[in-house]
Amino acid sequence: MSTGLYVVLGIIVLLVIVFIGVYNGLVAGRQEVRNAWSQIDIQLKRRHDLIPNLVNAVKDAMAVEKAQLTAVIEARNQAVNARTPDEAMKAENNLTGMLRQLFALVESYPQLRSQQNVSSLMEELSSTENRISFARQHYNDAVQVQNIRVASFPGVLLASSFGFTSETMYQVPETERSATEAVPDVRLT
Amino acid sequence: MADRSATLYNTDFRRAIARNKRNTLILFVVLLLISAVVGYVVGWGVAIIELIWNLPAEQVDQLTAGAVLLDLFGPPRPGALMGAAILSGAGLIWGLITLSSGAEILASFAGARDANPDDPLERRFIDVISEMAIAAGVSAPRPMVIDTPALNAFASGSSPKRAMITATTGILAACTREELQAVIGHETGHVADYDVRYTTVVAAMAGVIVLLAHFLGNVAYWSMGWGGYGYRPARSRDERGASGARIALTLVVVVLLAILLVVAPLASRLVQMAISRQREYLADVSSAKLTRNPIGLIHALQRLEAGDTNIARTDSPVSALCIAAPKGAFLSGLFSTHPPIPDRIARLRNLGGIAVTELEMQAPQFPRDADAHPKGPWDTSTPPTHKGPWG
Repeated sequence: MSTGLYVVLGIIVLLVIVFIGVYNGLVAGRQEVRNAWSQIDIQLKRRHDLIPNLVNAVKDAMAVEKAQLTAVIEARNQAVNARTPDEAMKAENNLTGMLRQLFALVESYPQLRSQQNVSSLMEELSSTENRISFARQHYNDAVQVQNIRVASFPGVLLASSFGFTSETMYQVPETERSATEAVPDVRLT
Repeated sequence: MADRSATLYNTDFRRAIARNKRNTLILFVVLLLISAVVGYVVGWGVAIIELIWNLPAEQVDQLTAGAVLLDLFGPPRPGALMGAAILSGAGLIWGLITLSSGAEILASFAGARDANPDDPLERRFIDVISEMAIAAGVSAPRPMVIDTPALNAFASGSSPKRAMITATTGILAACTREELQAVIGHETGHVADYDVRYTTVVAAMAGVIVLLAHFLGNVAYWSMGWGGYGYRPARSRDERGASGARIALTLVVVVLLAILLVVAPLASRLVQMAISRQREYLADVSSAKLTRNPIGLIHALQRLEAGDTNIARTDSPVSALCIAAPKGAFLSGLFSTHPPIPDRIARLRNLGGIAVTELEMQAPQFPRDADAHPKGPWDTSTPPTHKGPWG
């Protein structure tokens, strides 16, 4: 009798430990996804702050390209002032395209590239562009890990009753995908 | 690409982290045991030699070498216990120091300094580290630089928060941004899955066992000389006969200690090799996962293979951490902590079924001859002539 009781108690303790482990795993995964998302925002903010600096640094030498520079600033302001997430995503994607064109333009001004402040701004901004895409990539990685956790055993047993749903991946818009293949390589060396 | 990458890059760092934390603990215990054994034997040696010289002459004559050696396995002598306690205590303290500031210790072993953000190449290095850290979801490691034309990089530190990534000025200048990203991706992989904790502890602890063996060797040499000068003139005919036996028995003990001092560094070297080659393959996969670009790493590895990767002597504790093993040393293949670069490239080419074509394999133009670079004081392309017994 008492042996049976111990076995039952042991099984219950084991189940509780497994439950705690799985639950904590789900919480940690969700937190990771949220952190990854906020990291994207941090990098987008950094991009918004850097663009005016670069435009200011190059505007005298690139007076001929005034229209292009204004368009970049406008795209940047649109992104900053976007209200809904959908609007923001569209504006940011537009801005990505504009920045690529701007980089290509600056590349064609050798005297600009040799200026120290311009080249360091270019490095900073192109690194920020990389950070944005890596932050998105990390977000998708985190989402993928969490979604597998939510959908597979034993997470699936707890997920729905504790409100863990599968998260949404960040999708590169169709229009940008072809542009991604042809991304200009900014070389500052 | 998206579908293939979904299965290919679905590696979770957490399992690797758990494995590395466990292995670090095991390793820690093993290295403490090694130092306890060394301490025990040395302490015993000192005690037994003292005993031999203090025994009455007629007892010394009856002692045989076998009996003396068997005493090592007999009831522990206080001196032996003290030796074990001192060395394992010292090992424990050193281990804890390693865990808290192993990265700094290794950085100073390697002669690294903080990267300078005003230098364009080092700025790029700092930026690439931040980019890779974001991709891996860890805080950015501290960027360190070694001034040498040799091509190499390594990661160290007991946790991602305390990690450092060290690169040579040579590799910073030689690599394109894409290649640098792949190299840093490899190192960030080591950081994110706690390889660095394991390797840093191994490197710093194994380094100390080697140092300790050198130190004890010197002490033994010194004390033998001292023993010779200090030995008392024989008081009688009996005593004179006994001192011959005493010297012979002392020699037996000294030879045993000498063997130990050779074996201990070798044992720690074997432990160091347990920084398995598998880790390097895994870090290569991590790099591909973080950059989504195995070709960048292939090009970087080709560059490393063509260039000079010697940043330290191969038996230096740092060498096991590097992205490419410093080459050209005696027995480097046997004792190598790294798989051969062609094998790594072959695995990268076949990663997850993405066949990399010969055309993509073509690396961008780079100088094949390392002589194109100016040689600095760090250049050791001619192998050092002085080598320890284990070269």
